[in-house]
Amino acid sequence: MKIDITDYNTNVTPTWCPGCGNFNIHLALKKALVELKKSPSEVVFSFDIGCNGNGGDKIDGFRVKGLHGRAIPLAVGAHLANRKMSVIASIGDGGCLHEGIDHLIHAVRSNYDITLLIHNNQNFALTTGQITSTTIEGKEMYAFPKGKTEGNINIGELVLSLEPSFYARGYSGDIVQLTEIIKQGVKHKGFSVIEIMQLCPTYNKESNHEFFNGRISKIEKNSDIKKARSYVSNKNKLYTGIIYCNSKIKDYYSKLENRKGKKTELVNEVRNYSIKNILAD
Amino acid sequence: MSVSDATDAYELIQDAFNIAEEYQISVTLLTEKQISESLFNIKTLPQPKKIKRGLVKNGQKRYEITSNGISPRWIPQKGKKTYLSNSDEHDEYGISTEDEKEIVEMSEKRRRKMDTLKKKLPQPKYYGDEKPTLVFVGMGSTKNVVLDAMPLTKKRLGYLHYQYIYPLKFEKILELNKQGVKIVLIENNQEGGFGKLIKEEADFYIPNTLRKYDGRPFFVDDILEYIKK
Ligand SMILES: Cc1ncc(C[n+]2csc(CCOP(=O)(O)OP(=O)(O)O)c2C)c(N)n1
Ligand code: SF4
Ligand SMILES: [Mg+2]
Repeated sequence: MKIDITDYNTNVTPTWCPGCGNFNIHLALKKALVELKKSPSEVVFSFDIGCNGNGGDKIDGFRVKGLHGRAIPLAVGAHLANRKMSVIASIGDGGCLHEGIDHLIHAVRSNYDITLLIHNNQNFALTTGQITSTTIEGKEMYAFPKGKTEGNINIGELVLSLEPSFYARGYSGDIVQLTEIIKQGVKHKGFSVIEIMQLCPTYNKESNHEFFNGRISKIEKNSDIKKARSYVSNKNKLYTGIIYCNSKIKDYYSKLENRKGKKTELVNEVRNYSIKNILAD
Repeated sequence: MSVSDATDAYELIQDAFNIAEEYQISVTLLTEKQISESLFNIKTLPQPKKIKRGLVKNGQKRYEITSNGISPRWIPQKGKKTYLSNSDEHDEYGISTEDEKEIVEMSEKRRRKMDTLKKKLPQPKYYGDEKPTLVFVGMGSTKNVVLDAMPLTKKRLGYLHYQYIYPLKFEKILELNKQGVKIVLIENNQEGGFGKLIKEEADFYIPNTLRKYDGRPFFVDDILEYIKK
C-alpha cells in the first residue's frame, strides 16, 4: 500500500499562532514517516502538555497525550510493550528540562530505542510565556519584568555529558534538513534526542528567522564526541545536523538477558500468571 | 484495594490488573510494612485467576458513550483503527473538545463506569460470631489481630473486613447498626481516614474508634484490652 502524506492529516483545525514553528515541525515529521514508508497505525506518538502537545490531534497515528513532563516514560512503556511500533515522543523545552528532566537523563542512560523531539521555543509557551532554562539570560518575561535571574541549560551539553547514542539539532525553519534528521533518528537503534530550535513569534520575538539564519551552520553526521562538544558549546554559531551518533552503544531491550531469543512482543505475552520463578523451592 | 496477608496479596493483585484493564482505570492496591515483613504459613495458593483484558478486536470509537460507562478498548497495532488517548477532555475519538454538551456526556460516562464497577465488587467479608455484640470494621493487617483475639475472649466479637475500599460498599455497616450492634472502627493511623470515607460515602459516622499510631502495628493485647472496657 502506498503511503501518502495526507494519510497523516486529521480534520482538526490547528490552534497554533500564525508563524508558529510547530506547523513546520509537523510537516517534517509527517514527511519523514512517509519517506520511511510507515503508515499511521505503525507509529505511537507520545505528546507532552504545551503548544507542542496541542499537535496531538493534528497528526494521525496511535497517540497519547499524558501529563506535563511525562512524554518520555509513556513512550518508553509503549516501546517496551511492542517494539514493532515506532515510538516518537514530543515535548517542549519546559516539560523536558523542568517537570520531566529526570526522565530525559535516565532515558539517555538507558538508551531505549525511541525518538525524542524537543520543541525548544525557549519558553513555557502554552501558559503564556514564562521563562524556562533555555530562555536567554536577562530576557524580560511574564512574571519576570526585570529579566530572567537564573542561568541557562545548554541541551546539547547536557545530553552529550550523558554518553548518548544520538543527539541531533534541527531548526523549524528548515523542513528539508529537519525531515532528514528525523528519518535518521527514527532509524537509529537507540534513544535519539533531536533538539529542534522552534520559532515562537508570540513569546520569543528575539529568536526569529534573522537571528537563526545569521548563526546556523550545517554539519555532516559526526561521531567524534570531542567535536560534538565543541559544536554545542560554540557561542557564536548554532550547529545543526547529526551532532553526535554512536551506533556501538546497545539499546536497552537488546541487553535484557531474559528477552534473548524471544520472538514475541511483551504485549502479546499476557496470558497467565506464574510466580514459580520468583519463589524458592 | 487493600491486602491483609500473603494469600490476599496473591489474589488481589490479579483482581487489580483485571479491573484496571476492563474498566480502564488506575487501581491502587495498598499493602503495609507489617504484611510485607511478616511470615505466613500457607499450604497452597489458590488457582490463578483468569486474565481479563477487556479488549475488542475491531473498535471504531475508542471513547464511545456507552450505558455501562465502559468504552471499547483495543491495543495499538498495525492495521487497527488509530486513536488519541487524551488527558484533555475529548470526544468519542479522543479529539480535544471544549463543547459543553460533549464534556458533560464524557464526564457522565466515566461516572457510570464507577457505578458499574461498584455493582460488580464483592461485599466486605464478615468474620466471627453469628450474633455479635461488638463488630470491628477495618482493612488491611488489622484483620489478622482481631481474628487472633477472637478465641481468647468470651465476648461475641465480629470483624467486617474491607478488601475493596473504593467504590465503597457500606450497606452491611448500616445493617449492623440497625441491629443495635456496637460498631468500632479500627485503624492503624491517627487521622482515621477510613472512617472519613465511610462518613462521606454512607453519611454514617462511627463514633467508636480504636486507633494506634505509635509506629507499631496492632497486637492481640490491644484488642483484648479495648474490649475489656
Ligand atoms: C505538572 C504540570 N505543571 C504545570 C502545568 C501547566 N502547564 C501547561 S503547559 C505548560 C508550559 C509548557 O511549556 P513547554 O513544555 O516548553 O511547551 P510549549 O508550550 O512551549 O510548547 C505548563 C507549565 C501542567 N499542565 N502540569
Ligand atoms: S505561543 Fe508560540 S509556541 Fe505557542 S502556538 Fe503561539 S507561536 Fe506557537
Ligand atoms: Mg517551550
